[in-house]
Amino acid sequence: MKVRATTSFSVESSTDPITYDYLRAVVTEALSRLASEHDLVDETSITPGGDGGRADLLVVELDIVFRSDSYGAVDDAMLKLAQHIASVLETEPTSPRIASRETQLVPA
Amino acid sequence: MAIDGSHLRSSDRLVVRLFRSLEGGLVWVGVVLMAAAPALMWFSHDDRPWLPWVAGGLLLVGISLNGVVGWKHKRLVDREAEAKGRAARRSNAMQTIMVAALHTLMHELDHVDFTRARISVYRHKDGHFIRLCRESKDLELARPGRNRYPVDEGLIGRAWRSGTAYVRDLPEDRSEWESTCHEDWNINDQTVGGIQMQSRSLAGIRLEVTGTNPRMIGLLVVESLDPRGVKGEVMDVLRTSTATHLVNHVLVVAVTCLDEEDVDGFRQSTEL
Repeated sequence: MKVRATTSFSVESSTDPITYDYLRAVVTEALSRLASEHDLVDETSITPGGDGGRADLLVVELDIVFRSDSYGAVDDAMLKLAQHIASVLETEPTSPRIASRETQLVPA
Repeated sequence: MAIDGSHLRSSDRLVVRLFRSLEGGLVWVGVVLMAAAPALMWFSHDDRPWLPWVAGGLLLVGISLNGVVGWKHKRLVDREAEAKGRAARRSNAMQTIMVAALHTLMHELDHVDFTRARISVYRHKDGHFIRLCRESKDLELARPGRNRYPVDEGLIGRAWRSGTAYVRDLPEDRSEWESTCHEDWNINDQTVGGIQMQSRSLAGIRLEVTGTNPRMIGLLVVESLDPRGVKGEVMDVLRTSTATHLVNHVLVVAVTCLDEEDVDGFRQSTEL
């Protein structure tokens, strides 16, 4: 069974905002860790989300397809992914605010 | 007493239709015959000695017709009352089994706090969903809510299309939550404002008739006020639990074997 997980993260920093390229690099690294622990279908996409024109707010949207028989396992994996991304970004000197937005799981 | 006829067997419904069309006529024929009898007696003479017999005959026929009509009417009223009673008992039995299955599911989903969550069964009918049953440990959350739910809105719309759907971490802020429901989940703007329960995590699974004539008939949905009150593992329980199969089976029986009135009664009885 394939499960499609979609989620997004927003990163808000008032001074010296981080760049989208940097955010993408952090997410890509987190995804490679995820891929080493789970059977992912090669359909993962990382796209910039709408930020309403705000320079201090970055949004990244993720679309990941798992091969898994368990929604619980996929949900746990997505929670760990979010925690990992947050833990990396929180080490930034500007201490950006990271928010994990809604996560959806549907059959792929 | 008027006869509705909807709870009777099809053969009885035919009798009711015939009865309705003849009832008035037969009663009046009886009355006219009974009125005609004394008049005929009045005009009886020696040269028409048979008239009293005819008058007596007409009187008897008139009384008999009214008697038959009255007896038949009472019999149909009694039969319909019995049929309604049977339908109510069937609905109650179905409801009892459905509620028991939902309580079993709530027990199996022991990590869900059902004082802040609820579980609902929806039936698909005429392009909409109609809620048949809803359980929660909070009576406010167990209240009925909307009468009908569009098939293309919200998590129920997504679960209906894809078979299962799950979401968590919906916004805490009410206006953000409303705009997410509207923009991401296609829920009508006016409808969103009227939704009482601000569900922040939901899981839904489609209920289906399998076999030679498979079709989709409804949905089972668990929703919580907490952002992670419904976790992904809820989907695993819903997909594999025998209680879900029982809910599915009861809904199949309700939809395929009961009359519409019985299913409606089923729904009404859950709103008591």
